[in-house]
Amino acid sequence: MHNVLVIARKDLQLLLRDRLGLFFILAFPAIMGVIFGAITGSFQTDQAILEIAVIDEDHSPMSARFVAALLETGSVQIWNDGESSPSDRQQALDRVRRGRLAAAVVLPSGFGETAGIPWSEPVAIEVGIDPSRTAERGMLEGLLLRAAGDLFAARLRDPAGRRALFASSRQQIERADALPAVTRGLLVQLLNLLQTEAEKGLDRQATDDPDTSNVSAFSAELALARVEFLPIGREPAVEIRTAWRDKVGSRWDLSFPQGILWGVLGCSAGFAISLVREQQQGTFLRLQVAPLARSQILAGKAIACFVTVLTVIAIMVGLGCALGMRPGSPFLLALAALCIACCFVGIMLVMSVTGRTAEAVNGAAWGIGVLMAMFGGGMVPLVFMPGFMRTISIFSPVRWAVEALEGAIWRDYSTMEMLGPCGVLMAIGSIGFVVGTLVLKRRTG
Amino acid sequence: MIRIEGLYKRFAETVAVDGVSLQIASGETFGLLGPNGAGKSTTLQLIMGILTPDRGSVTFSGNRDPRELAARRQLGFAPQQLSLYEELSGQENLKFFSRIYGLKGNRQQQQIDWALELTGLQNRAQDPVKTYSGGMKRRLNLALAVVHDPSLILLDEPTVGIDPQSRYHLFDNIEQLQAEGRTIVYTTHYMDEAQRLCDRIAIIDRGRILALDTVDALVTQYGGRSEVRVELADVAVDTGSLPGTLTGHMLQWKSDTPLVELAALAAAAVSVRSIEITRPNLETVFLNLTGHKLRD
Ligand SMILES: Nc1ncnc2c1ncn2[C@@H]1O[C@H](COP(=O)(O)OP(=O)(O)O)[C@@H](O)[C@H]1O
Ligand SMILES: [Mg+2]
Repeated sequence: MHNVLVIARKDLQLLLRDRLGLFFILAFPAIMGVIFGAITGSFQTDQAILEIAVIDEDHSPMSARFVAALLETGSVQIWNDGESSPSDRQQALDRVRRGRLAAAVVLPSGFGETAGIPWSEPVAIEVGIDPSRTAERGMLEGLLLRAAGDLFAARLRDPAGRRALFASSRQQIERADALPAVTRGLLVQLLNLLQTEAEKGLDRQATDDPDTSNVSAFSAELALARVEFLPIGREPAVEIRTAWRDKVGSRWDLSFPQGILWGVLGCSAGFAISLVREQQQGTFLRLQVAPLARSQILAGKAIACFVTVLTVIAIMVGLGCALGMRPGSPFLLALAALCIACCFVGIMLVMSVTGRTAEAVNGAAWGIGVLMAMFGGGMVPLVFMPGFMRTISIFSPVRWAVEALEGAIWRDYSTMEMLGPCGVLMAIGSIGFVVGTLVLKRRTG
Repeated sequence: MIRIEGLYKRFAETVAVDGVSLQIASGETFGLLGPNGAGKSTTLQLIMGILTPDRGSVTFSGNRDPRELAARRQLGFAPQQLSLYEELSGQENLKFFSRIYGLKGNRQQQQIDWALELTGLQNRAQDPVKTYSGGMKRRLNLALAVVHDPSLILLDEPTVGIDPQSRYHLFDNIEQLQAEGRTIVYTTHYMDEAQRLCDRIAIIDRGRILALDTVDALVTQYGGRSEVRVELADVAVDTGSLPGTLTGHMLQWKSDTPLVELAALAAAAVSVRSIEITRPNLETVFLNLTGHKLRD
């Protein structure tokens, strides 16, 4: 162990002398974190398709229509088919919290009775939305209202439904004792007028123009539905609620995990290069002659890399906190950092055998790193990626590292939930360690 | 000290070491002399156990395998390629490598000071190695090989690419190490180095040992005769009584005893403008053994 530490110390000493290397593992990621944070708020998401879950707890024809109308908008993709059980609601909200879905929409029981009747007291649609996608919150709200408008149009278009709608409305007005009799009479008159006009107009329209978009667009203006947002994940800390720091704080929460990953990739690449440079410049030969086991030489490198990754994460977290990031769980963040360090030490060892010269490894390591970052959400956050890229992302260690960091920082993961990404990270790290050392062993005699 | 038997090592198509057997005694300086690509570096790496031979064996005194950690502690190695951390200072390089050998505290500092003094690097010890000249780097390369006080030192072409001054400095260093009773294995393709420093020499070419003995024995056995070239002042002498062949004024012959013939010339009062005797050396030994020169 003593020798391992001596080697690790030497590697850290070498790193501190390497200005360019330091730039890539500290300054570069910090810049990325700040830039991503600065631009996160301005992403254009109008064209995005929201992946959501709809939990229909009402099971009525109207709620089914609502779901169909929501799908027809072409702007959402529904993860479940609306079949629901109480556990579904929790499951869906959990998926949102873990970033698998943009939002979960719950249609509570009783929703269908009054949905689409403008003058009723609607049952609120409950929505849980990913905090990182607050930019799309307005869009989703609009879509829900549009679907509710569709219900209104549907009620009007269907003769039986229409009659029932007007009958129930007339009943409601007549039963509204609080209103003066005159007003009640006037309202009933108005309702009758509306009904005849509607019958004339809509029946005609239904025969020659099935498009009801005008109606729904018009209806959306009315308060046809009520949307209530459910809390998802961490509430912003009280002290940063006020003023601009509220908004900014959440941005850094999103951008710093990305920035951290760039730093971690920088460490992997840097140590991979130093390992092959050591072989190239012959000091590895000298170490092999020394009374050391080869595993000690590699362990020294690995520990130096490990320590550096942890340091980079710590520095970046410190910087993030200074800007307004508020990690939800320091303990889980530490766990995430440890697992990420293990994973990327393994990756470092694999990177180090991708070439025989420092230049070749440099190129390969950064190529691998950029690919992993690109497909893992290190450049564009995963939530803004098209579906197929998000599927590919499961092969990128960066994706799991980002998930672990986000889980600890703002996704409010439980320790159990952390085991998912952390387990994947540890597995990747172990595979990398085994593959890297085996290849290196074969290569160096 | 070291017993090597039937070493054989092949890299893909290249047979780098082809059946090398030799023994190196404690306290001697043993030279491996051969051209580039002869298999010298590979042989050293096989001796140290960095490379595994395809066939054959290496044993250190006490029947030790060179791969044993205890055996390696006694080993100092200066690779042919400069093997230094360029960003660290000379002192830091020495500190790191001596620490790896378990030295610490006063003893470590003493050894570092000794190695710096031996190689004349005290004044530049604190500077980063990348600011050193080629000769200084070579000397540090040697200092790193000896800082942990090894009894067996393997030097792989320690004078390649340096200025004459550093070269002579290194010769002095090595002679000092010899005087301290250390065993040295020295590879080179310069025959003058081998001649000056080595007690015994193995001449190696294409992975095989062609001859192995002391310098004198090698020259006697394989060097052939001295070559004598005499430029005559006057050719109008009785050519029948002259040794060798005469072309123009130049009289040329080969002999084991050149002085005998020269004495005969003097007795015959032949007037001579110049005399040149080339005694056989390791270069001629090599040429005679292989049919080609040591350095092409
Ligand atoms: N690691 C290696 N891989 C492939 N070929 C090698 C390797 N090391 C040495 N060789 C080849 O083995 C032969 C002997 O090399 P080497 O021992 O370095 O010779 P020398 O040190 O005498 O110049 C050369 O032909 C060289 O190209
Ligand atoms: Mg060599």
